[in-house]
Amino acid sequence: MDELLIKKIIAGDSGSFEKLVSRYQKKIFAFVYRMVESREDAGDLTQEVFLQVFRSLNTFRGDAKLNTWLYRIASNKTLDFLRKNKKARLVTFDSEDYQGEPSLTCSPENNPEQIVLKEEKMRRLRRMIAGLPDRYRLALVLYHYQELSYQQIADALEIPVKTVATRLYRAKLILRETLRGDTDAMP
Amino acid sequence: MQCREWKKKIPHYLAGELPGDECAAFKNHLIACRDCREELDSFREVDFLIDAACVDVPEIDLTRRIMKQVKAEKSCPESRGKRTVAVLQDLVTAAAAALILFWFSGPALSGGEFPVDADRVIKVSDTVGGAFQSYVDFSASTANKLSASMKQIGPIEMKGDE
Repeated sequence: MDELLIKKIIAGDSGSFEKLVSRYQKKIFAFVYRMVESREDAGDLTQEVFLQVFRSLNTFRGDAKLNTWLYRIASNKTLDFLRKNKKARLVTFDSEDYQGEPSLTCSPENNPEQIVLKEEKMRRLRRMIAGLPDRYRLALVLYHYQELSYQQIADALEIPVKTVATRLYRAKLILRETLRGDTDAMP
Repeated sequence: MQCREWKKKIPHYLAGELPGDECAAFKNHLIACRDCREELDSFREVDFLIDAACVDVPEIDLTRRIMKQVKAEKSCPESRGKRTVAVLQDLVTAAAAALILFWFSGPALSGGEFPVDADRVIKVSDTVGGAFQSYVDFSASTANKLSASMKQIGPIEMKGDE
């Protein structure tokens, strides 16, 4: 289906490019938002991704899937952005920029105190995830939140599957150890 | 395989990405190894927490915004060409500046004066323009000042030199 779309775009059908954007923009925005943690920056970067796609569709090799290719461009742009904005990256999902709803809702098992404690734990965990090295976080976001397989991540990042596994293992190891330290430090 | 090696494969196993024979071998190992079972449980918990920490993404539709940009780019594709030419011009200017500074650095190193009159420079960089000329003037006079102040400094003695 994507192949046909690409052929039409190359032939000059702008309606087909709009279809492509409409089909993938939410996915790419979600990925970039989870990486850069800002709605505005994620919007700008998503736009850049699709502009780059538009400019280089002629060079698109059919050996990669469009989905993978989009993630490749988005990953490169995101990592580039994160590198350039290293100093400004103290803001995390705790900030007012975070638009998400609380992940826990009231239920008989969750009294208000428990909800507050769990929410606090989630906030700390999000901070920990945000503090992971970019390469590890990238693999984690792609696997856990964008639901890509190891092979798809490997194709998108142009790395061996084994490297994907290693990055995920290390990311989880860091999180586990930090969580353990965090729990020990709690009163 | 040692426990250390198996432990590295736990996230792989939890993701269902371990090949069949390896997966069966790991399951067998788990029956006998309490340490690996505990490690597996701890990674299961981390996986659960990572999933629970997923943030909600704001609802946003960028299609119109992106298409507007695409149409703008389509209507004036030469703007990209102009950008490339501008970058090339900058590179050529930088290369010319580096060459001229290199050319003038000879007298500075030998303690001589810089030819501050920029007539020769103007001939070389005719197309680059006045901004470049003033840059060279500024560089030459700055280097002259630096050269003069260097002459005032006596020989430097290092600690421990006899």
